[in-house]
This record gives sequence, C-alpha cells and structure tokens, in this order.
Amino acid sequence: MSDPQPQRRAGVVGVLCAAGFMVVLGAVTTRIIILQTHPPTELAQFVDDRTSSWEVEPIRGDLRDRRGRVVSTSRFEYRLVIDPVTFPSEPDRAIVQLAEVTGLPMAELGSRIITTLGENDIRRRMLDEWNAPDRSADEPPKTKLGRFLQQVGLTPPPRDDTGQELTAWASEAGSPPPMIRYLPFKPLVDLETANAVRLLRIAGVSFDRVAVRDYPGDATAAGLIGKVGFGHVGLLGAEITFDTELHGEPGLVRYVRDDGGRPLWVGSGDWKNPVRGDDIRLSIDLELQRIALDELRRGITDAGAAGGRLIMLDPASGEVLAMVDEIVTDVEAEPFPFIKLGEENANGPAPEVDPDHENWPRYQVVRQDPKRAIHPALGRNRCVEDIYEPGSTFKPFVWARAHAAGLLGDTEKIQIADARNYRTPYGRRLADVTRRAELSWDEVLLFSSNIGMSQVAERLEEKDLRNLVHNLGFGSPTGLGLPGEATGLVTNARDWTEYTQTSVSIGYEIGVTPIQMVRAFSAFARSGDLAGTMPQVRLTAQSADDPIGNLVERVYDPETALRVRATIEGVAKRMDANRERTVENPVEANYRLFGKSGTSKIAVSPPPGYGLPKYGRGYFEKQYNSSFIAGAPFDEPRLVVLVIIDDPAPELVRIGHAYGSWVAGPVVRRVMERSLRYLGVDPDMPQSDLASGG
Amino acid sequence: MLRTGHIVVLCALALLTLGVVMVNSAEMAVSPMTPEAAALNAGVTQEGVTFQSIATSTAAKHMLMALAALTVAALFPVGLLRRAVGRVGQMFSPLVLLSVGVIVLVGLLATVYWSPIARPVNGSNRWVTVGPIQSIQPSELGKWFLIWLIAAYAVWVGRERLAKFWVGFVPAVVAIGIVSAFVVLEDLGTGVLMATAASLVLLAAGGRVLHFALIVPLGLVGIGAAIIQNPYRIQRVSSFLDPYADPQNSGFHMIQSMATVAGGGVTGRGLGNGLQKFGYLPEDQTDFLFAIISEELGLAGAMLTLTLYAVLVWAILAIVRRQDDPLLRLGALGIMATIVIQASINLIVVTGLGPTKGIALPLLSAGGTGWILTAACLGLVVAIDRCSRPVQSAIDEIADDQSDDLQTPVLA
Repeated sequence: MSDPQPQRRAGVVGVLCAAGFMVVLGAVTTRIIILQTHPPTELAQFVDDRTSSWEVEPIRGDLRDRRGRVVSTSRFEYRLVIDPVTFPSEPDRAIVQLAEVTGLPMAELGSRIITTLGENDIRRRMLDEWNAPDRSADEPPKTKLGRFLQQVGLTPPPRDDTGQELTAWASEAGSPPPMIRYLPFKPLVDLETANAVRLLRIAGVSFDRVAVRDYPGDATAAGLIGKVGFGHVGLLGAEITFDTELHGEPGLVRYVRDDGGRPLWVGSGDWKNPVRGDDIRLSIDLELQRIALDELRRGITDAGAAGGRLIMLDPASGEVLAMVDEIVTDVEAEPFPFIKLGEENANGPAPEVDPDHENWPRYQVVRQDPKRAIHPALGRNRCVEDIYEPGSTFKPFVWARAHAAGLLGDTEKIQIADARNYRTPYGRRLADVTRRAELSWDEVLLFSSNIGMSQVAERLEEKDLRNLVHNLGFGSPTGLGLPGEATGLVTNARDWTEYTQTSVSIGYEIGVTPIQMVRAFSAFARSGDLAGTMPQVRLTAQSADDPIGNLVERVYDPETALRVRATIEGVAKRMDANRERTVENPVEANYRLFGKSGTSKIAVSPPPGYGLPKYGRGYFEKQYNSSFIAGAPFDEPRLVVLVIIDDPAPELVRIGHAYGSWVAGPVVRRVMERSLRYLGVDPDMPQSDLASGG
Repeated sequence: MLRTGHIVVLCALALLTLGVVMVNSAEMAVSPMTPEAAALNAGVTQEGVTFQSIATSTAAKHMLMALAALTVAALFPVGLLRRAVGRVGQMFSPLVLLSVGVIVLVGLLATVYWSPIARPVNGSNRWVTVGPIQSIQPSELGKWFLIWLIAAYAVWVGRERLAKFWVGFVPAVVAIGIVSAFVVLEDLGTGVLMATAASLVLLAAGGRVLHFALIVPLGLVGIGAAIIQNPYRIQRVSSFLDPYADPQNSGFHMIQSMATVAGGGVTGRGLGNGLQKFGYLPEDQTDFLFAIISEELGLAGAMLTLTLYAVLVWAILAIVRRQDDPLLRLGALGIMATIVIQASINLIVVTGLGPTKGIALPLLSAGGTGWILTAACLGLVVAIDRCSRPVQSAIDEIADDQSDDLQTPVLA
C-alpha cells in the first residue's frame, strides 16, 4: 500500500491522536463520575476524614439550698500551659516575665521549663536520628510488586545495618518518644492574669480554661453536698446524686482541619451550644444545717463523746432539712485489739481484752475516717452509710403495732415480780433501768421498760413483727440517692427466733441507718389522715409539681400514730424535766416534743480480715450510742430530729448520765427550739408549762 | 468572521483564566483557630482571596505574559519561518542540520547541570535561574523545540527518503532518542512525552508504520529500564496497583488525589471551599490542580475543563488538516500531540487511572514557563491558521475524508 497524501497522513495521525484523546477524556469522565458518586470503600475514610470535633463543656448547674442559697457553683479559671517546642529557646526573660505576671514561683516555673527544654533536645536528636533519610530506603517493600522485584533482583536488597546505628533505646522502643508539647502549671490563675500573660505575647504560652467548683456554704453541709472530681463530674454526695441534671449537655464544635490537625474553620451548622446544667434546689436549709451543726457539736463536747450524728427531716414532705455527721479525732481512746486473721499464733501473746469485762478501757468505737481531714466531703456519711442498733428508740414501733392490734389493754397492768432478776419465758435475763413492780402499757413506753417490751413482743406473732420491720423500711435503702447508702441488717425469717423477737422489740439484733430511723419515726409525726404513713425521703426541695402526700405505705392507722405521739410526749417531758434539773441555764421549751430516747450498746464489728480478740464479745462494754428521736410541734409536727451521740465519755457512763435522754435529748430540744423559731412556727407549749419551764 | 484560530485563542484564554482562579484557590491559606478566646480571626484567610488579590497574583502575571506570548506568536509571520527552513535545507545536509539541532537541544537541556544557573529542587535538576526569573524548565523549551526540529527534518529529507529506514527514519529516531534520554535522566514523564510527540510528528511526516513497529518495543524497553533502575519509580508503579497497602507513604499521593476528586461529589464543595488543599494533597497548585477543580467545582467544573481541552484539540486538528505546508502542518500537529499527551498523562494520573507521575496540565497547572511556552505555541497555531486555506475547502476535505473516495484530488 502506498503512502497516502501528505496532508492526509498528517490528518489521519491527527484524527487518531484526537480520537485517542477523546477516549482518554471519556475514561477520565467516567472515572470522575464513579469517584464522585460511588467512591471505593477503601477511599471513603480518606474522603470524610477532614473534620474533627471537640466537645464544649457545659457549665455545671448550681446546687442551692431550699431557700435558694447557693451551696455549690462553678466558675472558670485558667491553667498556664507551655509548649516547650515553641517556647523561646532563650527562656530566661520569658520565665521571669511569666513568674512576675502570674505570681507562680519562679524557681518551679524555671526549673520545669528548662528541664523540659533539655529533655526535648535529647528527644529531638533521637527523632532526627530516627528520621534520617537513609532509613526509609531500608524498609522492606510493602507491596507485592515491590517484593517481587526485590526477589528477582531487579531492585537492590535492603542494606545491612552497617550505617548509622540507632541508639539501643530507640531500637527497643520501636521509635523515639515524641517531643513534649504540653507542660501545665498549677495553681490556676484568673482571667485577668491570663489576659495579662497573653499581652506579653510569649511564644508557646497558652491557657486551658478549667471549670472550678466553689462551695460558698463552706464545710457546713460538705458531707451532704459532696464534691466534683476530675473532669468536673460529680464524685460524692449530692453532686453525684444529681450529676445527670447538673451536668448539662455538652456543646459540639465540628471543624475542618488541615493536615497538621490544626482547626481551620467551623462550618455552618457545625456549632452546637452547650446547654447549662439544671440548678438543683436541695431539700437542706443552710441555716437549719448550721443550727444542727452548732448544737450537735455542743452536744458532743458536753458529752465528751467520740462523735455524733444528726438528721432533721420534714415529716410531711420527707425532705431532709439538715444532716450532720461529726467525728471527734482527738478523743482519748485505745484502738480495739482485733486479731489479724491467720496470725493468731504469730510472735508474742495474742491480743486479748479483760476477761471479766470490768477493767475496760475506752476503746475507739467510731471507725476513724482519715479522708475527712483531706476534705470533709471525702469522709463517710455515717447518717446513711453506717448502721447502728437503735435500742430503745425502736420501742415505739413495736409498741404501736401491738397497740393497733388491740393486744395492749388500756387498763391492763403488767406485774414484774423481780425486776432485778427477770427472765423471759424462754429463760433470757432482762433488766430495766427504771425498776417498777407494776406498769401500765403506756408506762412501759414511758419508762422504756425492756421487760415490758419483751412481753409486748410475746403477744405479737413473729411474722407480724418481721413484717412490721420491713414495712417500716428497715433492711432496704431509702432511695435518698446518696452514694454508699447502707440497707441495714434485718434477721431473715429462717433465723428469726424468740430471742430475736425479744431483741428487736428493744431495738437490738437489728441494724438501721439514721436516715431509716427518721423516715420510720415520721409515721408518728405526719398530720391528719397521713399519720401512720411514711414519706419518701428526698434530697431535693419539694416543688409544686411533686405529689403533696408523698405517701409510701401505710404502716399504722392514724389513731395509733396519734396515740403513740401522745404516749411518748411523756418521754420528752421527762427528758425536759431532767434537763431543767441538771443543766445550767436550760433552753426554754416552747414547743411540745414527742420523742424517745435510746441507749444502745455498740456492736464490735471487726474490720475485714480481722477477728475478735480473746475474751472479746459482741459488744463494747460500757460504751454506748445514746440517741434521741423526736418530732415537734405536737399537733402539726414540722420537724423530726434524730440525734445520736456516739460513745459518751466514761465519766458520764459511770455516774449514769450517758443515757440518750441525758446527752442526746437536750441537743434535740435545742435544735427544735431554734429551728422551729427560725421556721416561724408558733410555740404550742401551754402557758402553765412555759411558766414552770422558765 | 470567527476563524478556527479564534477558537484556539478562546479556549486558551478560558483555560488560563480557570487556571489563575484555581491556582489562587489552591494557594489559599487559612489561619488556624486556637482554642483560646483569641480565635477571632479563626477561619479567616490569612491573605484574603479577593478579585484584587487574584488580579495581582503571580499566576495572573504569568497569564498576562502567556497572553502576550500568544499574541506575539499569533502575529509571527510563519511564512518566513517556512521559507527560512526551506532555504537552510537547501544549504546544508539534513543530517548536519539534525545534528546541529540535537547538539543545541542537548546543550540547552544541559544547562540544568551548569552550576551558575542551575537550581536543583528536591535533588532533581530540572530548573535553571536566569536573571530575575527564578525557575525556568529547559525541558519545557526543549519539548517544543524538538517537535519543530523533527518537523523541519521531515521537510528537509522529504517523504521518500523518510520512508527509508536507515537514511531517513533512523537519524530522526536517534535524534529523538538522544534528546529524550537526556531528559529522562531527570524527568521520565517529560522525556516520554517528548519522545511520543516527536514520534507522532515523524509518523505524520511519512515515517513507515513498520519502522515504528520495530522501534516502539525498543522505546518501551527503555521506559521499563528507566523505571526499574529507580526504586521510587517501582514504588510508584506498585503503589498504583495497590495504593492502600501503604496509604501514608507510597500510596499517599494517589489516594489523596482520588479522595480530592471524590470529595467534591457531583456538585462540588464550591469555589474556594475545597479541603484537600490544606496540606492533604501535595502539588495541589501544579500537577494536581485538576483534582482541586473536581473537588471545588464538582463534575460540572471537571466536564467544562475537559470540554475546553477537547474543543482546543479539535480546533488545532482542523487547522492541521487545512494546512498545506508540510512544516507548518507537522509543527501544528506536534503542538496538538504534545498537548494531548501531556493532558492525558496528567488526567490519568490525577484520577488514579495510572501511576503517579508529576506532569503539568497544559495551561492550568501553575508554572510560568509552561503557560508562556504553551500559549506561544498556540499562538503559532493561530498564525498557521491565518496562512492556511479558506475554511470551506477544509470542510470539503473533511467531507471527502468521510467518503471512501480516496481518489478525490485535493485542492492546492
């Protein structure tokens, strides 16, 4: 075939060339459409991976007391952060300036910065060594073709490591440590200082905004309010109980970043404002809390006690108005000689206590709580976390049940032939503090007769008493919401004996928490038809939306509740009479109290891993929890107060002045007087009584 | 009346304008936000991209220079060139002239190694600095020069002799081989581009297909050898086959390029709103500018660009086919072939259809030398168009082509 015409030859080549180009353009177009509409799955991660986001911490809501006083609130402070990589390499001047403006100690500031600069120099050298250009060529080929070509010898094999050796450290670690870029300093500074530092325009200096929690209420209610921990998250107390509500919703900023990860801009719709957390109005009243703390401390001091607890509850709403837990750290008491299990016969004689229980020193009965010293909120809240045996304060519950069942005749009298040496039908020895040969059922409660109560218990069926205990909420948490709440100890049906029946009727063999006690006692302190029911205890102030009755379950009929109230008013009167007789300048009683004292032995409970010493028994000898629980005013009770004085001084025990009505009762009276007056409650004590009381 | 040459000018103008805008978009730098309160200028471009900033940008200056070059070249009396080449051909043997051309070319290309003006970048000797002009690529100049040398050689030896293997074909191939091999030392892509474009000119001039069939395998072996001789070229090929094997190193460029094209979606992110230019896609202003166009302007922008190239190429083809003079015809064809091959390689690379190879997209990728020389060559095409036959005869010829009647005489 002869060559075509010259023009034609060029034309043909040109057309072929252009046609080839069209094919390429077609292929490229197809490829673009495929990439833009259906990118390969492997590619997808590289397409989407151009934005990052950071959470904007919401401002935590405030905790307020029931009257709106702020007890816990958040604000921002600023943490000085230095990036040693960009910090001036001649740091002296910058360090001096920083120290002057921030007030941070220059020595610490300087030594940390300079040390880190030195460390970074070392790391930079390591990294340079690691990133030396001849390293990458040594890496084996990562693709199949690369490996193939290497195998057939078309590319040189990896060189031997005869060149520059990595340091042993870097070889072992795989790669050198990264440069230090974040060097935070304490303490935090305020915005003004931070701005002053910014004006210095020192490279590598920045500030982190840090939320700080303030507690304007000081330590008055620290144990109840709790504390926030790392990350401004509730850690203890009400802070953790209401953490969800307080925390708020974090905001979100989604931003486009460059290859270095630096944020470039925030696209429209990529900013979500943080929602401030809700404020929580707690049920406590800071003033009542302060009164409670004052009076409890005074009571503890007066009694020379090792500690004390107080709970004030509004029986109508179940709101906890005050809650105090005090431990005396410098009380003169010996640690109890528990035996470490597994080391009974180890070196030396085994620890023991006095075999006759006569020469009994004052032992430490309140477990020490060293964390309290760090921060009051860190301590255990013994009002909800620790159980105790309520003793005589438990008697009204059992008495009321028997009375409601018609087992206690109004005119019936019980005869106690030998109050010194009384034995129950099954042979258990019991004794009374106030010994009387004849007692009416009312007097059994009034004089807190153990013998009388044992007879009450005999008239009740075991199942009946057991149900009562459960109905009163013992053995199950109150639902207050504070962390670590104890459920209490209630003997189960299988182990429930006649011995238990008697013990429970006088407040032993049952472990309760103070909060359970005040809730149960509220059954006697609610008004009208609600008398005999228990409220749901709560840590938040009642609002208009909440059900007013706050009824949990009826335990007694109203008549029984009022009957108990009337009966135990006598106990309060006896306490007051005693108080007025023995205390100098006693507080004037303006409100009719109804209450019950209790003085219970303290159970010896070995810590985990320890056992009782030789001759040790279940209870501490001559060491007591003296408590008093009461409600007031009489007709429309507004408050229920429980005071427990832990381990009154041995001197008081010796002279018989350590009973609940001696050490705890006056505290309850004083708290009631001051609190009810603060609440504006009209005094209900009859004028004649007032006169005599004055 | 709108001549074909005008279409070429319009296409060039459109592509250059697009280039200026997109290069400025790709250059955009944004000051990073800081988490502190002082983030008031966050997300604000450091040097705001405005009409003024674009108009005063380096790219705009280059565009003006390119347009000036285009104008000058379009006014160039190509008849003179034709006559000069013809006269020189009568005075000297074609082989002598070819040798002189090759020596001049190699000398030109060798300036990249001449230390007073050499300007190595990343260990690669591709640029020289002449006076105030920072970086000139001699290979850019050599690319066009070689085409005209081969075209002139074809005129000098004549069609009959060119069809002969030893006396006509081989010297040209050797010349192409020497020059291209010299370029391949530093820049495989440009070398292959030069060799292919010059070979097409040779083929169009009358080189026999059979001869090419003998030579092409040799050329392919040469390319293969060049690849294997250099480990990083192997890596590029192997990472093309499986870019995801090492996405952070060898596969990085290809993956980022494809991600850029894919990221815009069909509608694009909008002019200036691309994300990949912030450090993700290397060479975003130069070799991979088309990826940025696809990302920001979407499928429509990409299609517009491709259409402009297609129109440009077909317009040049029409000029080629209308031109009677062999030198001008071959020169115009060479220019077309260069643009076609260069654009094809670039587009194939950017869309991940081929292994990564740095080669500029004509008239778009930032680069003063490339723009000015390409525009100048297109100016020459316009000049060639001006001295060609009337349009009607070309239309007749196209009609003739489409018929099977090979005997139709062509109007002279």
